[in-house]
Order: sequence, then structure tokens, then C-alpha cells
Amino acid sequence: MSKLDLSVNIAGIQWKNPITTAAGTFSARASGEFYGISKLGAVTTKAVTLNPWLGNQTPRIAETYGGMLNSVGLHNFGVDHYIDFELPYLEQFDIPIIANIAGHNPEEYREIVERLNSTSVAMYEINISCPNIAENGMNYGAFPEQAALITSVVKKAAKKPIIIKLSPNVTDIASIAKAVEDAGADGISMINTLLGMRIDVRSRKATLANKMGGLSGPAIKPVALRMVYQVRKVVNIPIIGMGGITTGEDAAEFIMAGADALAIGTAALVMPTAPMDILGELRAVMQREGFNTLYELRQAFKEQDERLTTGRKQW
Amino acid sequence: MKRIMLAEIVGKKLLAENIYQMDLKLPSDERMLAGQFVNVYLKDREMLLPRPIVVCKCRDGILTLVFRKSGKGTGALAGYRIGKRIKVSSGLGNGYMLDDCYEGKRVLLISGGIGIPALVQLARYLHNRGAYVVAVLGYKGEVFLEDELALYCDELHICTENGKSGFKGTVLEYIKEHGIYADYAFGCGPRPMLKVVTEYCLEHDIPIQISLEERMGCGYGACIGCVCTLKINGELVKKQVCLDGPIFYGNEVVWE
Repeated sequence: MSKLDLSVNIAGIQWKNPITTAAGTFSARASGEFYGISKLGAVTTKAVTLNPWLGNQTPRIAETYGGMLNSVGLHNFGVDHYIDFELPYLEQFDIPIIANIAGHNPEEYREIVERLNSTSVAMYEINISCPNIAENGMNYGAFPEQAALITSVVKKAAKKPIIIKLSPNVTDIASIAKAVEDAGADGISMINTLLGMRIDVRSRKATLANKMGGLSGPAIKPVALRMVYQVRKVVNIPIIGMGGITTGEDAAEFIMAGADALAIGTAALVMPTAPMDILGELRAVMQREGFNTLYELRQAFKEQDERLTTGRKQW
Repeated sequence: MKRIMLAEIVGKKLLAENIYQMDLKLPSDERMLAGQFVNVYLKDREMLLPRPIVVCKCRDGILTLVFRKSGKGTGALAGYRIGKRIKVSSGLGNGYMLDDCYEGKRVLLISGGIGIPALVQLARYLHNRGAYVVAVLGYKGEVFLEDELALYCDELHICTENGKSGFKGTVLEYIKEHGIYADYAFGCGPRPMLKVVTEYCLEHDIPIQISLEERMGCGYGACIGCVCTLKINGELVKKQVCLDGPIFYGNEVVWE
């Protein structure tokens, strides 16, 4: 009998395992055709906005080396539709529901949170980092003051824990993470997509109709991991790590870098069962390495590298 | 439940220049509908995304795909040999919306190029349910799948751009010139062709269903990457091609 315990507590909410879905890569009805949603640690839903957003023109998807670009643009039916049609369906799975929220201004974020306060949503993930909604891919997540402003507005209105989703398209992610923690964030999720682009040489046009889009997938994993590592050093709140996690080994790396939980995004678009596959693989990695809890796995990371401290020449 | 299966390549044929037929043996029999597609996974993980390819036919656990080698992904697929195992998904999307009986009905199948494989299973279904099946197929030059379609079609009209086979001209020109009428029409092919054919059918009160194509991410409804615009009851709505389609009623499609 294994003593493996993968449960985590994120800002007071208990998850039975550390795996959630990355916003915008999951649909309960579509994903539920491939695996049992109730087996997830938590479910994170696609960004919901105050009013319906139609998203960007197509093509919205472009493949890149080991990754993909998207410029979906937060296409969704708005918060009323979310409350009336999506939440009731999700409630049957009896796992924490994390609502990803996006808006054009602080007021919109506040209003959405107020609407959701009396629903079954367990936590809010505040999307201040989508590169697909403004000119030049700018967003609130790019500046510590603005990130802190949104955080404090939402925190005041929210009756549930708030997770701030950070953008990697910044010069110093640690300073932004610190700013949102100081402004009252209960957790951080990171990273959103990296702003990218592709050109079709034959047609002489950008591959995406929107020209620029968010890069995701295995190609960005080292960047995401490095950022989680940097942010873990400066904040005490939980981190939901994401960015190219595709295998159990990837998942273990993120935990060792300092993540408390993990979100699976592009891997699930590629392989619908990825969240379950990765969970199984993470269990196998932990058993192989002799860890019973995620805490043990995280603590095992050797910050002091003996190759550098023992004086023994390694190469 | 839908699933991702490991399938073995048991047959491979070059049907025309850059047009490949591939037969895949599935682990068990799988029901796939005419008009559905499957996600095909490539071995090289540099190419992350699965390739959505329309079902040509699926019978007795053998899935047949016919695709054009046009880019890196289909290029790799075309290079796979018999005996290789690759991952494929269950049938995705919706098939053509079909009745149980077509006795005494004339049904027009209109297609061009790499849209033609989508008609094989459809033609068979319609033929078996009593329809008088008229197919008008457009090719650039080389003709393919015509023998297989001939098994199920009462009339098979081939149009080529260069006039090498059949009628020299487009499918629409052929239909107009010969005043072809039908009770129902089904289309699959390049968007410009579908647009003019749909307009023709609507002018002549022929209800038409068409298969739309769009650049896909996941192919199963999670990413909202592939959308199209429909006009339903006077209202413009966005629909997901992979999940709500790829088959749509022609009169609802907004061409822009």
C-alpha cells in the first residue's frame, strides 16, 4: 500500500491532487468525453468576461517548433451564461471550481467577482496577463502598480480566495509577484503565454489573423520553470505553476522549483487525457524517487549545489 | 467515451500526385460517421498538434484516410511505412445530418480536390438507403477515388481544370450547364467552391449541407481556435468548427 499523498491546500481550499486545467484549454463537455473530470484536483475554466466577447478573427492557431501560438482572444459568452449554464454542469464533479476572470478595466473585474461571490466557484483566477486583448499585447500584468491596483480592487470585492495570473512578458516577474502579494493576492498562477509571432513566407502574411499571439507548449517550459523559481524566492503565497508541462517529470520539476499546484494547458489540447496521464506519471516519478508528499519533493531541491561548494572539480 | 488509439498502418497507396490513401487498423471496431474527422498524431514531437483529417471510410476496424501531402505534417505522415503504429482519435465533430430513408430522392454530392474523400462513406450511406446519387467532382488534373465513388453513385460527373478528364471547367459550371436538380445537396471542398455552390443551391431551393474547414488547435472543442460565423434566425453567432461542425447547413453560413 502506497503512502503517496498528493493532496494540496491552496489558499485554504483543499485539492485531492495538484493538477488543474489551464484556463482556455478545457471544456467540461469536450474534455469530459475523454476522462473523468472529477479526477482532477481542481478545474479552472476559460476566462469569463462581464459581457460576451467574440474573440479574434481566424486563423487563431499556429503551430511552432514544440509549441503553438493562439490568438483566440478570450472568446466567451459572458458571466451570466457562465452562471446559468456552465457552473451547474461543473458542480456535478464535486471538485473546486476556479473561475478565470478577465476584463477591460478594474470595474469590470470587480463586477464579475461580485456576480460570482454567491455561486459555487471556489476561487478566482484573475487574468491580468492575456496577450490577446489589447494593441501590442500589453496588459495589466506588465506593470507592478497596475497589477497591484487590480489585485486590491478584486480583493476588496471577493468573498473567495483570489489567484493572480501573471504574464511572462515583463522585465522582472519577481517584482510583479511581490506587488500582487502585498496588494492582497491569496495565490499566484504563472505563467500565461509568451507573446510571439509567425510569418508564412509563401503568402507573405502573418500566420495568425491577429498577427501576434500567445506561445505555449513544451517550448516555453524552461522559461516558465525559471520564473516559478524566481517568484518562489520572493513570495509566501501558493503558486500554481504552468507553462509547457507535458510529462510527470515536468510536473516534478515545477514542484521542485517551488510550485504548489500545476495546471495543464497545451498538453491537454494535444492529448485530451494529458491531465490524467501527467498525474499518473507524477505518481510514478515520486515513487521512483522515494517521495510520499509534494512537500517532500519540493524540499528535496538542492539550492546549494555541492558541485560548487565542495571544491571538488567536476569537469 | 472518446479515446486516442494506437493504430497500425496496414495499407498505403499513392492515388494521384501528392494524394495518399492510408488504411489504419484500429484496436477495435469504431463507429465513425460520414463527415467526421480524426486527429492524427505525428511521431515527431516537434510538430505538436494533431492533424485533423476527414474520414474517408471506416469499416470492420479499418479506418481509411485520404489526404494531400501539402506541408510538414502531412509530409511526415506520407512518409510513414506499412507496419508503423500511430496514434489516432475517435471520430470527432458531427457527421452529415442524415435521414433514415432516401427512397425516391435525388441527392447531389458536390466536391472538389481533397474534399472528395469525405464523400465516400456518405455516398455509400445514401446509396444503401435508396437515394439516386449524383456526384459532381472537381479535380485540378489527376482524378482519384472515382472508381470507389462509382460503386455508390448513379451518376458520376468529373470536371477538371485542364479538361484532361471529363468536363473542362468548374463543378458549378457543369451543374449550371446541365441544369442538375436534386432534392438535397451535400458539399465538401475548398471554401470558394463551397460558397458559389451553396449560393446556387439556395437559389434553386436545394437544401445543402457543407463541411467547413478552419485551422484547428485541439480538434475536440477545448481551445476555441476554429470558429466560423453563422446567421441563425437573423442573428450572427460564432460556432466551433470542430465541435458544432464541421458540417453546417449552407443557408446559415456567413461567407464574409
